[in-house]
Amino acid sequence: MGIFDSTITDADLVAEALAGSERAFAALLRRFERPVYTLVLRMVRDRSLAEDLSQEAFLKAFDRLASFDPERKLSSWLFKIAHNTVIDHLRRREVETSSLDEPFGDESDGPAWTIEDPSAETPEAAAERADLSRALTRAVGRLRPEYRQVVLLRYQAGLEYAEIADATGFPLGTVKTYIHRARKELAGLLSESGWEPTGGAETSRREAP
Amino acid sequence: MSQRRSDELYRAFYRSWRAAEREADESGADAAFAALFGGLPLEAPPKGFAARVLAATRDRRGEALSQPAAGRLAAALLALMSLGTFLLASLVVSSLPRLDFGAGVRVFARGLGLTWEWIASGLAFWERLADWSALVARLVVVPAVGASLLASALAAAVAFVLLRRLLAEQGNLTYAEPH
Repeated sequence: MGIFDSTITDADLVAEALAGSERAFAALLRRFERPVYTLVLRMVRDRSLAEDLSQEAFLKAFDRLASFDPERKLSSWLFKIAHNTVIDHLRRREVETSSLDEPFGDESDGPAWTIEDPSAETPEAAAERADLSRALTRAVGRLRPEYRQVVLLRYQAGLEYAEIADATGFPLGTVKTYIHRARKELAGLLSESGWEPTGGAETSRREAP
Repeated sequence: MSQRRSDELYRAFYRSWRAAEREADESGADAAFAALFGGLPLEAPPKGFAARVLAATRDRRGEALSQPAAGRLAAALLALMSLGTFLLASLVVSSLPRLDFGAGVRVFARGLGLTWEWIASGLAFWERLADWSALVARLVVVPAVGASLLASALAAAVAFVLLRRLLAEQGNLTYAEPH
């Protein structure tokens, strides 16, 4: 069983990395580089900055790997470090994020719903899903920073409400309220861009590319 | 996954989310939106990202390993400096008889007397101060004493530079602790 084998648990990889295995570090990176980079990118909406901050987050995580509790989810731990890294940076530099209308996603990227058999879908269905994906990503970018933060931590990082409260410093009730309001706002933004509540190409206007 | 099924799946996520929002079904909306959002594609970092992180990690680990070695070097230099100071003190003490220790004592005693006189006159003290300075200068120009002073000063400078670098590196290691 190779170290890049997906059946190796995160905790095992951490243990091997702590023992000094560079291949374990590489495997951890391969496993988490996309989720961490995506979270950071959606928070800062700037590819170059996202790369720097993701690197900083991984370096901090690797420095502090010995303090990781194997009973916890490694992804949650990494996402919190990435989130803290971004927030620290934004507080330090008060960086103005890039234009919220500017799409930062690779236009050729398709959504991940078809991972089991991508060849089975029609170009029309793929295009429709890509449209929704872009519209949703753009709508998230239009949210106010607090809402964007909690939405990404909840729905991309998969953190529980209490963990989000812990990571952001917002009271638990505020986190719930923000998430609720953010979803409502996203629904409104999607409707504005032509995505009717019924969904689907036959009832929704496809967004202009 | 068939074409029909994947089409239905994504539409179902979207529709159930919007329906749950309309019906104020918080947990339903949460679950449906999580499924919908979970389907968004993940962004790939730029090419070479992992290699750069690994190289930086390697550098940091290398630095971490080299820090104890630098610490040992600084400790050795400090020990050398202490030894130099001890030798210097020994040399000074051994040089004193050759420099007429008795005269020094007499100068000191006289200095005390003169201090009293200075308090009275306020002027003669400066002459005695010049005598004392001359005495110190005679000590310093002894080759062994001067060489020891120079060596100790050099060792101290190197040790402090190393310590400063160590402290600066420690200061750069800041972490974002997850709460």
